[in-house]
Amino acid sequence: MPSKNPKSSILVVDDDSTIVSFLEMALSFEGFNCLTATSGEEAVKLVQHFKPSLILLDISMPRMDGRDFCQWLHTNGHCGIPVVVMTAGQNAARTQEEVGAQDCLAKPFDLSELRSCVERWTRNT
Amino acid sequence: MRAADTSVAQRLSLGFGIVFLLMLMLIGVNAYGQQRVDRLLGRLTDEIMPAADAAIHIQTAYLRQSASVRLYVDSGDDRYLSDYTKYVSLAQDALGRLDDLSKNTGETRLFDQIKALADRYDEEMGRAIFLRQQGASSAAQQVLDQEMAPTREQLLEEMESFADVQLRLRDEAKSEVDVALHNVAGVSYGLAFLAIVVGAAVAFFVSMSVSRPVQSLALASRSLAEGDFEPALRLEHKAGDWEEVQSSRNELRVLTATFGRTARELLKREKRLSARAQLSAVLASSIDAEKVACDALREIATYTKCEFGLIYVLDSELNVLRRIGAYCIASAPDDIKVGEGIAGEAAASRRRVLVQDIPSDTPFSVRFGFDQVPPKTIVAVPVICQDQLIGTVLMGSVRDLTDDALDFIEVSAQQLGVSLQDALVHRQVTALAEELQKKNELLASQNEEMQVQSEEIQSQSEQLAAQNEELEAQRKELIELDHLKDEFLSIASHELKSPLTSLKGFTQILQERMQLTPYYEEFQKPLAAIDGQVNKVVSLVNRLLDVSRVQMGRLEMKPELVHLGELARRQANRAQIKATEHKIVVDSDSEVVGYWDPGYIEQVVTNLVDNAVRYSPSGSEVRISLRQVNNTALLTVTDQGIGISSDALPNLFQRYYRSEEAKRICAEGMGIGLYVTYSIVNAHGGCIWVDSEPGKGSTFHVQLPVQPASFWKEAEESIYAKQESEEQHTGG
Repeated sequence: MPSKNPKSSILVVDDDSTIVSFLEMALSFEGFNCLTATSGEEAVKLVQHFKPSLILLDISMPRMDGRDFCQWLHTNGHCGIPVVVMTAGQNAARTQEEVGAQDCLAKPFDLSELRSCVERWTRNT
Repeated sequence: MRAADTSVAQRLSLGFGIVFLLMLMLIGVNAYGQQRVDRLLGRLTDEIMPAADAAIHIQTAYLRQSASVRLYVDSGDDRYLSDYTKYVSLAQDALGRLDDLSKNTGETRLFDQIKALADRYDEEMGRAIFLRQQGASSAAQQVLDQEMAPTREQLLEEMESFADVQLRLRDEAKSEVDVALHNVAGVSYGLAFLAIVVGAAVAFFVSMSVSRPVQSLALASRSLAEGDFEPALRLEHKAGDWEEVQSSRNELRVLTATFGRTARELLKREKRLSARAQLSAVLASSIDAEKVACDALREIATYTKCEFGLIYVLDSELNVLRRIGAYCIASAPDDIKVGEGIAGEAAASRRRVLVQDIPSDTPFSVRFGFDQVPPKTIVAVPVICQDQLIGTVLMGSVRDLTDDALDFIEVSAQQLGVSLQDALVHRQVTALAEELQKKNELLASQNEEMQVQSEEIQSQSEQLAAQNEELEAQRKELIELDHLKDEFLSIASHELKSPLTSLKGFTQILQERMQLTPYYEEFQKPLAAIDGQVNKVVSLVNRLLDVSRVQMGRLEMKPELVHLGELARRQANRAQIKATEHKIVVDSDSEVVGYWDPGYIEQVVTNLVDNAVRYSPSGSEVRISLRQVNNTALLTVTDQGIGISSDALPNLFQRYYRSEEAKRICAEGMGIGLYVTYSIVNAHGGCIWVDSEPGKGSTFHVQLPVQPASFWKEAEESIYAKQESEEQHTGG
């Protein structure tokens, strides 16, 4: 098991509830506190109240999508929270760059990829 | 009749001089006569008449003297003595006067007698007076009666004869005056008549000598005005030699000669003008070069009195003069090189060439039909139009050619130049027109064919239009289908990948968590199978998406600075995780950096490495090497696998192609990976090729240009432009 900060809380945002539950399970097994949201609006409320140390964000969502959410984060002074975008699109790295996120995961990803990515962004917090 | 060589002024002055002389003589004669009459009359009045007067005075004085003396002697009264003295002085005066007159006239003899008698009478009277004074009155009386009376009688007689002489003289003088007057009148009348006769003659002569030439001049002028030169020409002939005329003082002769000469010049000019007009008419009458040349030659020869003539035209391609017209000559050469002969020289030098005084033993000759004579003069003149040589005119004569004739030939050559050029141009134009006509006919026949064809095409095009409409409908349908396909792709990428994400994730969680349970042995295999199948589906979906994108030309490039070594190592590590039984090595000796799309380059590396792993035996090595050569990056992936047969090599990068060996080794696979790799490399402006031998492994070479960002910018713009045009197309 990798060393982790038990206080770290990770916000998972995806409109696919199955993915949300998989991520919740996988992250809780790794010892992270997990906040979940199935829409951008929900995620906004959670960020305002809980200040997560990392956000795993799906890009394509109905209404407020991942891009709008990132925009909101930047305009509302939440630039300090690292964001990992998860996308089913062709070029995950480009999407990451476009929205100003810190990392990306191309769907579908391996558990190992998820682990190393999350560890990378929670190690210093 | 030829007048003396004197001017009109001279003639007039001569005539009037004679008349004037006669008038002068007339005046002189009159003056002389008048003078003579005057002199005669003067003598009459100054000499003869005073002499008669003096004689009478003397008579009277002596009578009175004698009377006074007698009275004194009778009375002794002294009063009578003073009367006597008074009369004595009167008589002395009269005697003195008479003495003067007689001296002038030369009648001295008679006067001397009178003087002697007078003196004697005076002496007797003096004696009588003395005697009376002495008292001897009787003696005195005696003297008076005896001595004085006879003396007195004598004196009176003398005096009377003297008076007679005087009267005779007077009558003589009078008759002399009459004669003189008569003579003067006669001479005057004669001279006046002579003057009239001479004056009339002079006037007649002068008027005749002036008016006759003037009349002939007037006549000649009138004839000239009516176009008849003959009288004017006769005038010149009449005036005689021109040299002589020029030095003549006779203005009328000079005038006549000059008029005649002017008329001759005019006639010459008229003839020349008419010849030129004739030539112009001939030149204008035809547009055929040969006819123009022959007619012009005839006109030139007629005017210049040449016996033969030739016209050559320059063939500028061969630089040869070609004969196109001849006059009275048949044996002249048809062609002459420029610069050869008289005609050729004239053409080459563009100057008149004149050969005169040809000796009689020359081989040239002018044939007259019955005989032949050598020409004496040959002249060749170049025909030039607008500074361009057209040809040469050659004229020959058995005589000398006058300057006028030579001049006419030159002027005619100029005129001929324009006409000949027109004629030659016309000939060319006619030839062209005929050619054009033929071509037109050909075109017309072709047109008819084309008309038929075009009708066919028309009907075909109508069919095509109908088909086009059909096609258009089909195209719209296809665009609709294309949209549907895009939608499908979007669904495939998102809707398929999302369930796969959770499926894969849960499977892996299950596998991990199951290890901690006693059921692991039992469920390990099915779980691994699920994970494997999920991976296959994921790979399948990714590849299908790739090929769709490549096929649609939607490889959206986002070039950025890429460290190819780092990228290759990262991909190698990822591949190594899966390929546990292979050894993946990256061999990068130096930094290889360029502007590429990192996502696509990753895919290239991944595809090549995956392929290498798949078709090589376990435990073998897969080597990725990187090099930079000039402006290109070279990436090679080498394996120790089965290799590729030479049959398969050409088709290796084709879509859906799989070699027999590949199918045998690995049944799965769609033949997409290398096609996508090839497309990506191509889109970067690079190239890909393979070296392989069956059983000895393969080496894939990828060459990528290290392009600056601007290249990609341009590439991107062109892609956007392409997309926009597609969208407009589909939208329309």
